Amino acid sequence: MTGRLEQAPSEVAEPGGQFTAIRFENVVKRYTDFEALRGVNLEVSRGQLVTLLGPSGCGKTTLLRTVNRLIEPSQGTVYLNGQDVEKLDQVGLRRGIGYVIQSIGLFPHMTVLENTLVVPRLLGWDRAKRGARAREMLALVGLEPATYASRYPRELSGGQAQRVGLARALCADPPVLLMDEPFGAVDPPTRERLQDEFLRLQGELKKTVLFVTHDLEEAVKISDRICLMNIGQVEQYDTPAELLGRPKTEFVRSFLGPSRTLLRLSRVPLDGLVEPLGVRVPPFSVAQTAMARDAFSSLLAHGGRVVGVRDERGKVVGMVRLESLLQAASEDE
Amino acid sequence: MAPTLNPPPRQGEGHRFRWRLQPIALLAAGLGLVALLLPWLEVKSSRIAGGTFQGVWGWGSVWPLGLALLWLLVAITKGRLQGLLLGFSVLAWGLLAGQEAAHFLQGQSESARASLAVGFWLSLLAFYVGFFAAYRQGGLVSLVSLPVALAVLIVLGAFNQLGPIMELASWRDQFVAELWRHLALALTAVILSVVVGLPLGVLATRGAAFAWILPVTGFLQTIPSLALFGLLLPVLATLSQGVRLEVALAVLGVGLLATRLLWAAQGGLALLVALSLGLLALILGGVWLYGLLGPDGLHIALNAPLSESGVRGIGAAPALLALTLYALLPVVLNVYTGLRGVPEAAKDAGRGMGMSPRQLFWRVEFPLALPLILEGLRGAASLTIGITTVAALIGAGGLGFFVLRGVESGANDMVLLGAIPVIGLALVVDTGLRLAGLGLRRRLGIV
Amino acid sequence: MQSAWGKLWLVGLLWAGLFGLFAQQALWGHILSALFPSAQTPLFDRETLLSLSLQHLGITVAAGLLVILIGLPLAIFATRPLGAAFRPLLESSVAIGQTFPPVAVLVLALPIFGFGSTGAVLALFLYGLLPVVRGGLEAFSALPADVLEAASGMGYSPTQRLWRVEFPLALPVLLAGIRASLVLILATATVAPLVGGGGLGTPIVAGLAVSNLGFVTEGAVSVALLALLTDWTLTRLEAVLTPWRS
Repeated sequence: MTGRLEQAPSEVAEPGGQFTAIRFENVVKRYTDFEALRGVNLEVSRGQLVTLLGPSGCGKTTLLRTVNRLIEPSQGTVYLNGQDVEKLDQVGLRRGIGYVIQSIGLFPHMTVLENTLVVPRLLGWDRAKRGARAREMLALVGLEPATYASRYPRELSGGQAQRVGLARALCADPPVLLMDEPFGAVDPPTRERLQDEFLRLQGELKKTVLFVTHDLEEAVKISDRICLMNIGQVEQYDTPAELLGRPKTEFVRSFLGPSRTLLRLSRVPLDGLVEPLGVRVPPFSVAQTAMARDAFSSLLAHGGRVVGVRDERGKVVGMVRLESLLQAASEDE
Repeated sequence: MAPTLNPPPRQGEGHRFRWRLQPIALLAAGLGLVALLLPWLEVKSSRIAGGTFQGVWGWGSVWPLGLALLWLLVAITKGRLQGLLLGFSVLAWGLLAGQEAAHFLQGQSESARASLAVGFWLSLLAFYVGFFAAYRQGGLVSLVSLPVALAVLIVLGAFNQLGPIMELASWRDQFVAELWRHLALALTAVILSVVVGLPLGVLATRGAAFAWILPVTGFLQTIPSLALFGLLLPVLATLSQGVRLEVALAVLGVGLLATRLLWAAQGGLALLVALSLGLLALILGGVWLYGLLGPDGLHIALNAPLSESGVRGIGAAPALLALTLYALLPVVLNVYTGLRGVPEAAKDAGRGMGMSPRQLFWRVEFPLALPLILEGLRGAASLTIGITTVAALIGAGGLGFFVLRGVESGANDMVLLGAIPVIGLALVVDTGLRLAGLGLRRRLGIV
Repeated sequence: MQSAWGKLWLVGLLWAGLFGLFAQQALWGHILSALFPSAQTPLFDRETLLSLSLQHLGITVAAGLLVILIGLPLAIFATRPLGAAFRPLLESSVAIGQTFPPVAVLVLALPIFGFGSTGAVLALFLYGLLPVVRGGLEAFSALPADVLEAASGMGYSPTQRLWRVEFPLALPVLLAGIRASLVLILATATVAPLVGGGGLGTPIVAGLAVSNLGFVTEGAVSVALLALLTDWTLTRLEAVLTPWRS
């Protein structure tokens, strides 16, 4: 199974040019007193990061957990790589999927290294290979193996523990990651750092990621596509820009709320808005690689109507005007 | 998909394995039926002789068949009906045992006995399991048939021919006296352990100077009870022969004063003096309280060795001291845990309203810790009732007397005459205090 | 972890020392004669102290092994979906059983198992079962839910999850139950000579019967030392086996 999923996406010819990694088909989950999922249809393309977003109780976690069969749907089918997950061996299925949860669930009786190599061990990798792989993974998530490998979870901070959780999920190189509010329990600065690092990792590894969050900003920051859910149904499934720009239903509009301008700006690269420098060089500047939101914040913080744009050497090479920022934010509305 | 379509049930990890029949009731019926295959009685020519084991089928009675049928019905019913059927089973069980005993003792000499054998006991276990199953489905009502059936059996005299009851008949007066002794010993020890344990538990929460209290009481409980009795014997023997009562009282009085003076100057030494004085006071107080409560009367003899006042190397004095020390751990531990568990917010609120430390303790901390303290009392009480049985070994009497004499003479029925009431007492006291604790929690609104 | 194992040698040394002390028959004789000059034979003379203490340890270990071999599977069974139906029964039986006085349990075994050390071991086993089953039920039902979910989500099969995750995590509470059980068995075994079981209670019971304080002291001191060392050993073992706890 792993082998098939590891095919390069370009080899697969399908509408949209991408292979569908996860597909939900009319998934319903009924409990005795309520319906958690009311017929969800959703496709997640290979190598994409899709967030399941919505208020608590909207069914996003339930939907996530149908993929590795921690929850069995009452009706409907979940396909992983074209195969009905119900027909796959439960244990084998789970070993092929990385799983990260908010409370992390590190095994307190295992060291950081042992925690990391759990799945390779279950898969029967040989000792040397899995040890090396686990160390590599720890280094990848920014934990120096020499320092951390032999620590126990109780000796870690929240952010460190969450990194171990990520390393553990990635260790057997699963093509698919399920992440259930993985950064929900850490303080905001740490969360932001973890998000940045995760984005960097995702850029390298190109996993198919299904990511549950209730944090709109987080979803907008990291997603290729966002699936906004409410009371067990998909309200809108779109790219962040589309979702922010063209909310399809009243619920989506109210969920996005007044913060939409800023959020939209956080998706807009500065590049397209930069104009050549005028006579005067603006007194403050932002990096060329920044997002429009950073320029906007900078303007709000300093006052004024123009902000400079500097290249990687710190030289101011252009400027952005407030008007163009506002226009970018209101575009398509 | 059509909404009326029922999804096929899926067997996931979270699903409970479902049984068609009630597994617990099946277990009960199985035990009851197996019991019918085993011997119920051991018929002996005298109370200490070896005997022959007798099953329930061999003597031409139809009762066993009825009981077997009842067990089969119990297996397939539920709740109140099951409880009713179990009541009939109890009735059949008692009548069967009684009849069988009468059958085999007929024509034998006066001294012949019918002792209880494994099938009889296994039936009891089956009833416990069965009533448990019925209670789970039918609530308290399903238990009503049990006391009714037992009352009927007693009125009919069904048990009168069974070994332990015949023992009781021949030891009746002694039994009453030893029961009284047992209760008095246990009660005295529990009272003393609370009187001593409460302040110790409170002190244990007050800083590092008293950090030794919990380990020491824990250490005392690690020592086997018989060993503790044994270790106290020589100490008390020496004390009782060598010291006169007025000397002991004088030492106590002077010592108390000395401790108060010493306390300011030399805390550690004062503590040591206070502890030894406390032990002495405990011995005297225990013996006198027991004298008031027990059947043996209170003796106070001045101008004579302590042994004249009831403090001897063997007998009640070492037993009471050992029992008290033993019961300390549950009391101290629960007082400590209870006070530690009082929410900081409640204490802060009290302080904020201007309570003095003393008022804070009595109006806030103590009431909130009370349920756990009661729990400690329960632990101490059921522990003490059990261990008091061992006290018979050092001549203190109590129900252990029958156990000891029975074991020595090889009369198992006599052993049971001691052991069964001890178990009954422990269960009653434990249940009673458990219910009291529950009531208290309800009143405090904790549950 | 290394240092924790290192501390076990001290435990071994103390055990060797204790039994070395039990083997000094003559020394005990001298000390007890000095303490109780009036007694003719202050030292129990029917059996050596060493053999009594070995008997005592033997009874305790035999009953303790039975307890672990039966009690743990019972607790594990009742905390699996298959055995869940029996769990309330087991819980209530344990609660009731624990109010049974140990001595009563020992002598109740008499009519069923008869006189001798087999009966004593079986009775002690039944009584010692209670703390282990209770601890086991508690241990296996108080495991952190997130850890269990993570384990399932990562692809542990139910059996693997039990042995590699649940069991090690339950170990602290399990070991505390086993310690309570063994100390209880060892203490109750002191009364075993009453039912023909032998052990260190023998000189105590004999000494009480003939008012020989020397016998009583010999047995009482020895069994107290044995109990304390057993308790301490198991406490150390708990620390060594669960190095991941603070």
